[in-house]
Amino acid sequence: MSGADVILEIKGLKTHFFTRRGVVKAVDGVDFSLRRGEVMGLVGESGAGKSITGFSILRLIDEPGRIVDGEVIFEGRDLLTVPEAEMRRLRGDRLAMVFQDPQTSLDPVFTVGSQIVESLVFHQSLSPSQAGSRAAELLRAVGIPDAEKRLAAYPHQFSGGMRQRVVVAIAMAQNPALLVADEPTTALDVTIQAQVLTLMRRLVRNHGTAMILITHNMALVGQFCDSIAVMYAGQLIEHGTKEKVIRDPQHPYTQGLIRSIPGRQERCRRLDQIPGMMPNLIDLPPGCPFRPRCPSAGGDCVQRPLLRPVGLDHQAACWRRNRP
Amino acid sequence: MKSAMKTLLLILAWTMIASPALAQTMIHGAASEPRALDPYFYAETPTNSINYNIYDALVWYDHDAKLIPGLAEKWENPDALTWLFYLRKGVKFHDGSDFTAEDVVFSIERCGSWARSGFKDSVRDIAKVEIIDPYKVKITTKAPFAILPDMMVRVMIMSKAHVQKTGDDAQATNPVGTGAYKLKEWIKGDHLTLTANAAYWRGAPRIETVNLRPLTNDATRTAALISSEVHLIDDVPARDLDRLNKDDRLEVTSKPGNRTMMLYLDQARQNSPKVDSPTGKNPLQDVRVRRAIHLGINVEAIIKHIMNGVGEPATQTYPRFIYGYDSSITRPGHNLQKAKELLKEAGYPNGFGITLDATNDRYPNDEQVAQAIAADLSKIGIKVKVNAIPKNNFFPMADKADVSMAFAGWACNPPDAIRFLLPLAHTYDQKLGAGRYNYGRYSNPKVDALAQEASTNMDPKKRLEIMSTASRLLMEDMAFVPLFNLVNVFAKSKKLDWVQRIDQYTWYFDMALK
Amino acid sequence: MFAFILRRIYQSVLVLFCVSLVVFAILYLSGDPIQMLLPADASQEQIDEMRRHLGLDEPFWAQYLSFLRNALQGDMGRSFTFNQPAVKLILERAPATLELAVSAMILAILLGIPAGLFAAVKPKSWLTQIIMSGSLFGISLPVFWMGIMLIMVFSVFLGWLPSSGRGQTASFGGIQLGFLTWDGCKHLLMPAFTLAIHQVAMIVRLVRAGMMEVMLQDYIKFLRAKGLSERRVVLVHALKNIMIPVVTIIGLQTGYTIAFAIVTESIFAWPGMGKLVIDAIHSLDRPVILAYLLVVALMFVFINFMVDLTYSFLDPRIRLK
Repeated sequence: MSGADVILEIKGLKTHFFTRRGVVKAVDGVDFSLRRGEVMGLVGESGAGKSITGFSILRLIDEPGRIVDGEVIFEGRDLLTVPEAEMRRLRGDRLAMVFQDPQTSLDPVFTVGSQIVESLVFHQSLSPSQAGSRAAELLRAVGIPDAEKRLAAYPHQFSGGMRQRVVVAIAMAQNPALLVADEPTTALDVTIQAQVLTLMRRLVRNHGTAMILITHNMALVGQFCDSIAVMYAGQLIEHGTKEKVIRDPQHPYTQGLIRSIPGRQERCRRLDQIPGMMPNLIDLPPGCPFRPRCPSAGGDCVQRPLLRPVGLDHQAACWRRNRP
Repeated sequence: MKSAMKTLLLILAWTMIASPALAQTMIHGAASEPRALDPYFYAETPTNSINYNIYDALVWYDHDAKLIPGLAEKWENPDALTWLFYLRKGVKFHDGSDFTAEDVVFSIERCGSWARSGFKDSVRDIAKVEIIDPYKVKITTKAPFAILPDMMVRVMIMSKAHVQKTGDDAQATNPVGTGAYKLKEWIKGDHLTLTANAAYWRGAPRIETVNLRPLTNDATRTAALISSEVHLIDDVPARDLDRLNKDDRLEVTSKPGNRTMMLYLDQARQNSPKVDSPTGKNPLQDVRVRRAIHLGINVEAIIKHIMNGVGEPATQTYPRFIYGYDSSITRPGHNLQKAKELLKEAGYPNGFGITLDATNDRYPNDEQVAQAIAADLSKIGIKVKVNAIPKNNFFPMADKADVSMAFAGWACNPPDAIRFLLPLAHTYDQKLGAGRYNYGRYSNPKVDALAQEASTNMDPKKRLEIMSTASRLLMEDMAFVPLFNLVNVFAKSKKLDWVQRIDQYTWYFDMALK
Repeated sequence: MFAFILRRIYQSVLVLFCVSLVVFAILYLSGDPIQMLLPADASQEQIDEMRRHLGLDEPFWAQYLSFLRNALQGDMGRSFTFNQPAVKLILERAPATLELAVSAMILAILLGIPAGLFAAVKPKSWLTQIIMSGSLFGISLPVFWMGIMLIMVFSVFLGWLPSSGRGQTASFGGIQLGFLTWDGCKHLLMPAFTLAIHQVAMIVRLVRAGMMEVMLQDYIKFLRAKGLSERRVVLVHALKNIMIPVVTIIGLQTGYTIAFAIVTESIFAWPGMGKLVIDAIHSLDRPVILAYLLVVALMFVFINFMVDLTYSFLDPRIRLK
């Protein structure tokens, strides 16, 4: 997991929200790296910090949030030190993002065409007519029929799935090196989900784009990803190749997640639930954040476990598992 | 680009034209805009005021409301019913046509017959108008009518030819008179411009152009005078008086008008509708009670604190320049002790309850004055409930005599006491048309007789005597409780030379700019 | 579109009819105009004659029906107090009111939208503090006081601007307009500003609140993720999204500004319709009041129509039906 192939390396990323009630440590020390073309699933329950991690990479954190520490090394540069103007040039070009709800991620009062064209004009300095035909090409590439005509249509005239295809088309317009997809299919029908994800995987494969697929759906991750990172309470608690994490989960939380997949083999078993709730991120107890819910917690868990190798291409943050 | 430049030039040209020759322009900031320049349409001061600058009448008043000749050089009444008016020769209307007896007859007839005439009453006593020769007119009245010359002040003379050519309705905006000024332009709500009639028979006016600007907001009107945007303002708000007095470029002038504010007391009914009497009788029928009310109201304090000093205590039911005023009548001071004694004598040691009806939108500070009256009367035991309502509701109610005690004003117009004695002091009599505004239904046969005599007697000296007697009788009966006379206040730039008129009219012919 | 216009006209005629009936009834009940048309010492004969001439002696329904009959023939009657056709009186004064109201709204838009945007985008700036407290001040300041203060400062003490009136006007297509001359502009400035101040405050608050909401939307984040500049995100995308409520308010407020210009008109002796109508109400001048309602109702219809057109231009999801 090293060498020239690595396009993104995140070290000690901390993004905190300074709210009136206290500091919410939404992302609190995350490290991982991504190779060119790798599709990584970033999983965890709501509020675990997955999306904030994604936004932090593009530096799209709104007030009162702030990236307080860490490095985001992308193509050899620390994005957290790049000037804003340069960052804008990278966004939508080398770095792209797809959001959860296609209903809300397109501006409702502009045509789809103009929303594609404006980024082409910005990034490629294309003339409006060149940009127009390129936009149609992009729409065709995501499987939208009658693309030229559809450019003049407004977002509300598309179905949910089609809209997400438009979003994907905009995101992939510049062949980015990294695509952060934040729950891209959660808001879609199950049948459409697979279509869109298949499309996305095809596109990233074709262009050699690395993708972080943020989701809470373990099943999807199993289907579409090369590697899996599991987040809990702002921290990465397990990270490894898909096979390793799914077949041999080391962290009790990951084990719980995997047991909760409605699997084929165990069709008739009742789904397992992880008891309890994720702790409040404002006053996180010291030590392992999963401790209160952990079936095998012990005295040593009062100290915070760090992500450590537990096998080849496999890391976990748990005192219990790190000891042979 | 070229066309843009052209537009710019045009706009520049407009602004150049926009600076008028300022030679001798007098700007009058008026509290109220005239309504129509048809002199018979609507009888109110602001409208009459502008019309007297455009039109003349046969007879006119000087500053102190004394009759002076107008378009008639002189007049005489050979017998009690006949009046001869000798017209001025060589007078021309603004359109250049000659003024003759034809115009006088036409005007008097139109004044009485035009459906929208608001001046019909002015000629109601006239039976006949005849042309003797082009410069002599004979007017015959239905009955002896002593104040006919005063009435003729009201009938401004219009050009027969002009009215017949342009039609009745056109006169509202297209006036042609013989007056000192001609209408140049009237942009309603913004300004009305008059230019001097150089051929005016009294001589050319000294001010070339007069601009009347309606500045209805009090503060704005004052500000316009202070910032020298106008030379003259009328109806000066009392609260600005100090400030204007201190400015040495300005001058404040005031004169009592012809309006007296008073109380009307119900004296006709045994049971007055709005009285709560411990004896069950109407206490207002007792003259002692009426006197007590007169003594119990502190008029000086009301003038000082509520009217801001703009008012003068009234000795009788009309101010001193009204013909028929008796200067021997003096005003007893505010006297609580005496008032209480009178009430006790009358059998109301603990007073009684009564409703005081008043307007809240007609006279200056009307509602506050009514409240002050109530407060004063409570000190002598009379419990007064004030009912201050809009004039639109008040007057119809008062017309039906549906009041026990009412606060309102009366202005004698023309300034002759007969204009009080007949409509207010005379016994209410629908047939005679007398006592129409006698809201308290006061009735004294002696006063009725005096009023009738004064209206028919043609000898001015005798009339004065008769009417003075009536004035005294009214005060003896305390038929009405006179409180104070309203005072009209103007403020002007010291550059403007002008003497304020009793009748409140701004007659620009009298003015000059230094 | 055509059907839309037709329906709008139909609705306004209906509204107008109801309004005229209600106003007619209120005026009928609120007193006798004769009191206002004749001097206080008028004789009973004079009063009766005038009442007959104006048809005021007829019962309510007869009066209303004859009004309706004439109105349908385009005759709103002659003013009781001016003896001129009521509609002519109103139309003579309408341009001044419209000029004042439109100038005020333009001023309000030019000041309010940028200030509101700034306050939303830079919530912590000192300038935002000033804008927001200023707008609170603007909303709570009485128009009357504001106008008098302006006159005191700029006319009485500094002598820079004329205190009142409309000044020189120039004719444009037969309509007298003040802003075409320098003198007219000087006269227009203070009244327009006075009338605008409330509207500025309202637009600032509306724009700011709208922007703060819109800026949290996913599509704003997505636009940023596309690499667009903040200026384009705010001025093109966010602004167009908040324009619907802003245009609604501007439309509504333009109507109010026309209808409630009266206070400003009275302070600055502006020769608009407001003063005329207040006088007409005082003197129960029924023809003028009804003609005014008709004209203002037509203006409201027109403004609403413009607002609807703007909606469909601003938001493709709205179609004129």
